[in-house]
Amino acid sequence: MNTRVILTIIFISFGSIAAMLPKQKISSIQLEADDLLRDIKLRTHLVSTDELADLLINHDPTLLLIDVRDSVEYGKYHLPGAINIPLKELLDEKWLPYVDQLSKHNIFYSNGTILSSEAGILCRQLGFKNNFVLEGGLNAWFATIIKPEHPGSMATSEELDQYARRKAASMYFTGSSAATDQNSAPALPPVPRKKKKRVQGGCS
Amino acid sequence: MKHLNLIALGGIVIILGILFGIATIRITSKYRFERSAQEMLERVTSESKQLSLIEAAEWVDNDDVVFIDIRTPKEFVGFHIQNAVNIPYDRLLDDDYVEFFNNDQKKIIYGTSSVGANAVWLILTQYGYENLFALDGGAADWIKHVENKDIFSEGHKGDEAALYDYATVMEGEDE
Repeated sequence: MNTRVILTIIFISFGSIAAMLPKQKISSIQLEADDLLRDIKLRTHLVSTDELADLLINHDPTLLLIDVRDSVEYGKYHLPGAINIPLKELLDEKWLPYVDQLSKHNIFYSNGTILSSEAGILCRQLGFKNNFVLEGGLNAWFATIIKPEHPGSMATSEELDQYARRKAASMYFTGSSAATDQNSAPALPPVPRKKKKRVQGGCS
Repeated sequence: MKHLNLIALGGIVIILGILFGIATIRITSKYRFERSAQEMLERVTSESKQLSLIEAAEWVDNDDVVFIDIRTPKEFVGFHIQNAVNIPYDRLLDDDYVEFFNNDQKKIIYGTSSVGANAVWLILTQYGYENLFALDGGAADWIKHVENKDIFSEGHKGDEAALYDYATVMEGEDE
């Protein structure tokens, strides 16, 4: 009898402490400094210009390009189908359905890789999934896809293959770029990730 | 009988304690960020933490400034900026360096490219360290433009400088 009472008290006390612990989000665990450093070293968040060219040519429906430069630069030129989220506004409420979601693969880009990787790192740290960064940005896109350079007479067959693919991609993008820009419908906001309702009640 | 009960009780308490420890382990993790993502976003868009090669070159012989090379020890031995210290990516958060990062020296981070240095700047600043800067250019750019005194002839362009007039190139290709 006595033991049961003690046991009950112990269970209740552990239970009440557990109930008062800060809530942990399971769906989006925030990353910490060591996790992020490891990710950056492994370069898992980077997408090459060749991979992007494939995705665009195949009209991958899950692709969403996000231009993080300011609206003036975006207005002058942007990749086909890209939306504009200036880096400054990245975490604004109105863009959350785009950056914190599970249905699309976002690729951030800028002129180089600094602005876009800042966007990528901050999103990753907040636990947002499916956000990638175009390695080398528009500069690399133009250097490798739009104006590919012949690898030279000493090139290996792999390099020649890559050059042939890039040359074909170049014709695809420069030949029909004006048409795709006008015809493509503006990207619709993806379905926002459903947030699980937190359990109500407790000691609040 | 009484003893058995006590042993069972003790066992249950220990098991509960262990479960508790596992449940709270992430909350007390060592490498939590000091600053929020929102705060860092404001800093990256307002503050100039990038140093060009020209700006950084002026600080080489200054005792108040230290260059941090985040590449591998092998790369560091091959070439490094004079008086630089080598702290590879995976050792940046080691206890040995906490004191170093908290001293008053201005610290300039560089790596293979601007991108790695900038990413490390972002993470370490968010982690709570101050006085950090990132070199806009990598070790190879440094050799070309600073060691070989090429700064003023060609000029090194930063990572985010547009190397093409994108719209014009696209129009030109259409014809």
